Amino acid sequence: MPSLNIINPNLTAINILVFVKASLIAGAVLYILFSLVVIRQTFLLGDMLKTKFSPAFSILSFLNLVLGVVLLLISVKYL
Amino acid sequence: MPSFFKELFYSFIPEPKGVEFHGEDKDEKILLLLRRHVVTNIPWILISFGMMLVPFVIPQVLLVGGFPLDGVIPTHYSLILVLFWYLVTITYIFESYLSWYSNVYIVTSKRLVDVDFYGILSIRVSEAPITNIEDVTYTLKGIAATIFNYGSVIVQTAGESRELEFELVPKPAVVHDRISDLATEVRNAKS
Repeated sequence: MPSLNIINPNLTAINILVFVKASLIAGAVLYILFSLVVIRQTFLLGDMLKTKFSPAFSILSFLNLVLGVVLLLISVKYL
Repeated sequence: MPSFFKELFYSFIPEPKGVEFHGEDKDEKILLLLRRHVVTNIPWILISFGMMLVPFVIPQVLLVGGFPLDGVIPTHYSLILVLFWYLVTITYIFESYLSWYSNVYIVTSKRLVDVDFYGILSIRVSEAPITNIEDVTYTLKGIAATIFNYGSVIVQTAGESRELEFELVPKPAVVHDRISDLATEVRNAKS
């Protein structure tokens, strides 16, 4: 693989890939934590103000969490 | 305009249907539901568009700068990176919208309620009975506020929480008038 000299002349493409993989996994974990906070927020909102769309927001926030988990699984499995 | 659109995107809703808030009395009626003017969402909407373009722009910038990514990062890495970026973008949009949607100001037949979500982790709810209203003022500042007719309505109260501010709400003059009339009605009914 060709070397990439953007950051450091000694940094090889393989090192960059390891860095990208670690960053993606860490990012996915943070994303999941953030999704949990969003779920909490939608429930707080639903408690405070009930509208026709409160259940839809809760479903969307759960979907967001599912996407985060899928991203983590993909990152671990395919990278 | 379909009613669901109205509920999702309007910021001035007189007598909203299907809306309840925590602590609402059975004989209480919501007269006005307010949010910040829709125009105040423009900054995060523009940022979202910028974020959507990032995966297209960065490779071009690197190419022009002499750092082509072809062959350096395998395709499946790029795909997952782009997927991750779009998930972050979607979350940013959802969170920004939710922040706008959940910051509400409610005028009922008995009180004023101000619900503020600060960021994603804190919430503040202030309320004042109509009977405690002493003074209502509104301000309309700046070019955008003048063009789109939005501003802040400040309500001075006699209670513990001395001031309630309805920030950047549409038609501040109408809101001011409505609250003043309501306070006068309640005062006259009492005396």
